[in-house]
Amino acid sequence: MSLKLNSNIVSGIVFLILSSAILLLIPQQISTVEASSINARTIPRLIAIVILICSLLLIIQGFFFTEKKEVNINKSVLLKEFRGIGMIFIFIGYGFIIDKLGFTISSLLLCTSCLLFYKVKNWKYYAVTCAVVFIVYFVFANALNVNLP
Amino acid sequence: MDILLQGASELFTLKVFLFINVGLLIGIIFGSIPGLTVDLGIALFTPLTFVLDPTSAILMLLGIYCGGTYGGSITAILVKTPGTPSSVATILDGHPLAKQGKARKALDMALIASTIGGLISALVLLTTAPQIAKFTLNFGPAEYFTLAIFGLTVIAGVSGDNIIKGIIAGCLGVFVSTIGMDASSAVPRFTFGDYRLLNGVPLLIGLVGLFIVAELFIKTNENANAGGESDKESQAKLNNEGLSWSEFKQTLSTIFRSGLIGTIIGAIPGTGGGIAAFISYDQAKKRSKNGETFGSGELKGIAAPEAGNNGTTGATLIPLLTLGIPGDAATAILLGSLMIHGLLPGPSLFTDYGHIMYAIMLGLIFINIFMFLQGKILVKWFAKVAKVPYVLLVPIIAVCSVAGAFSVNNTVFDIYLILFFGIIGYIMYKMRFSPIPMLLGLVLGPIAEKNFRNAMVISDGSYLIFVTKPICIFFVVLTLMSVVMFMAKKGKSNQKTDNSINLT
Repeated sequence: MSLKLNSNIVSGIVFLILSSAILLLIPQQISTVEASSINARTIPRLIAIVILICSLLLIIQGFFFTEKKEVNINKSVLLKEFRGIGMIFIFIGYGFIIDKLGFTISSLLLCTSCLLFYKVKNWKYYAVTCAVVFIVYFVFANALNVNLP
Repeated sequence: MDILLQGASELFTLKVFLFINVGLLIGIIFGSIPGLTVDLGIALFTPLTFVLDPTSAILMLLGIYCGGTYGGSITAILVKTPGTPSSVATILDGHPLAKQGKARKALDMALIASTIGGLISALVLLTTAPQIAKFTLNFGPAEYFTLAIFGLTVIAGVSGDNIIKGIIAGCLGVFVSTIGMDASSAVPRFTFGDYRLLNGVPLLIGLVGLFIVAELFIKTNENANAGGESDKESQAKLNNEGLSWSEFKQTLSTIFRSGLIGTIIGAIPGTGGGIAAFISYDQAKKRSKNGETFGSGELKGIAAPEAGNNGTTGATLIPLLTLGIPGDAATAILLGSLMIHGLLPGPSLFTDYGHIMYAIMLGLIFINIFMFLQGKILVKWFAKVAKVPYVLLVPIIAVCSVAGAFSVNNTVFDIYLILFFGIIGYIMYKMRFSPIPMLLGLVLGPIAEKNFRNAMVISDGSYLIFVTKPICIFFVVLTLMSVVMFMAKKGKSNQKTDNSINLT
């Protein structure tokens, strides 16, 4: 399967939606107590308008001034994308367990998952990363006085 | 003179010198491992400097910056892989010389040139920065605001393929900086009722998320050989003859010229070591009688780029410390680190913290001297470290980042935030956005907003204040010029720009 993709159009649409959402949410998310026309809403509104204008320019640029590149969505492209997304999911999983299992256990699990994800077979890599977890815990707890979860 | 002596007394302590060397060691290691960058090193170690006084902390981070800029040359010479983008030009002659069995000579040349280039830059910083700072004392809110906008556009324009994307990323950063309680009216903004967002998004969290966590996702996505373990590529031997005195004398004029080129280029915001290295190399080649031997292991071909790229290290701090405008990506992160330590870069820095500024500027001279000593003594060890595979570093960096992020406010919520910003950074990479303008927006956004609102109070709501003051006009013209120049430059090279979604 091949797709004609252009980052200008895609990002233009994404930021058009985002800036519109910001503009719509401003009255609900920022209450004003100042009487002057320059208040807590001014900069967020200004920023959202600039993003909105730039998004429209990006879309116009994408449709009329930049070439759309054909990308073959084959097995290797998909595999590569899944690799990045897979790593994001490992980190999200880590975020979920760190509060419950604490820093040491969840970090040991993170290191092991990362190396397994990379299909590393050398046991020394597992030993080194696990040792680093304990060293980091020791340094933060003792030298920096940070009580890691 | 008094302030210089105060700065010297702040600097000459065992503790400061120890942390300078720690920073250098980390920097050279980060610079010499392909895949790790100076930016990543500074971002990763900023949380660890929390417990240090500002002088030790900033000098340690500057040690990482200078050491990393030099460290990139080690792998460029030995394994033809630049550790940092600024050492790409060093490969041209460094690796051919190493292949001739003269790796030690090439490494010595790179080290000496880097040291002298760095020293020239540090001396220029020491002499010019205080003078520029004196001039900037006349700045009021309107001047600060136009300066912050100039700072945003200059980097937004050069750190990506497309200035519109740069502006969007910068605006996104400013937007994120508005989250939390408004400093003027104390009303919450975009907190969605969550009290944990009332304090806003800490700068360090944005830094770690955008530059470290996102980089881990990107590297995993990019690296087709991620599963490959230790790189068995043959490496040039180091037990051979070093640089002789006569060879050093022959390259001295090239080193000085390249150091000056690097210093001038570094002082221009938005340039960086990579450009300085290539311009220095090109100048050395044009001026040399043996121009045709460049590319086959010419010593001047190593001296020029290395003196050039390290020549930027002090010079990039001139606009950073005096105006609050970072010269390149690494100094953009340093800008954040300075603010985390309570040092607000810009006109008031030299009046409020003059002694620390002088300690930092004098310290930069010593950083280069210590860099020479570490490079000379530990080069064999650095060459071995350079072979550490990235797969081993990913979990280690991840664990350090999480611990660092947690230490900001001792809350797990900050870990969620770095993951969030990591994902944002990854999506931005996929859409070919640079994260640097977003970071700048995070840093400069609150300064711009505060001064904009103050200026509007002074002018009774008239926007004319930004176009009637001479300094404001100067910055407005500079801002417009940088945008127009960037667009013109991109217009010429438009056909080379890849606008596809980043799938390859």
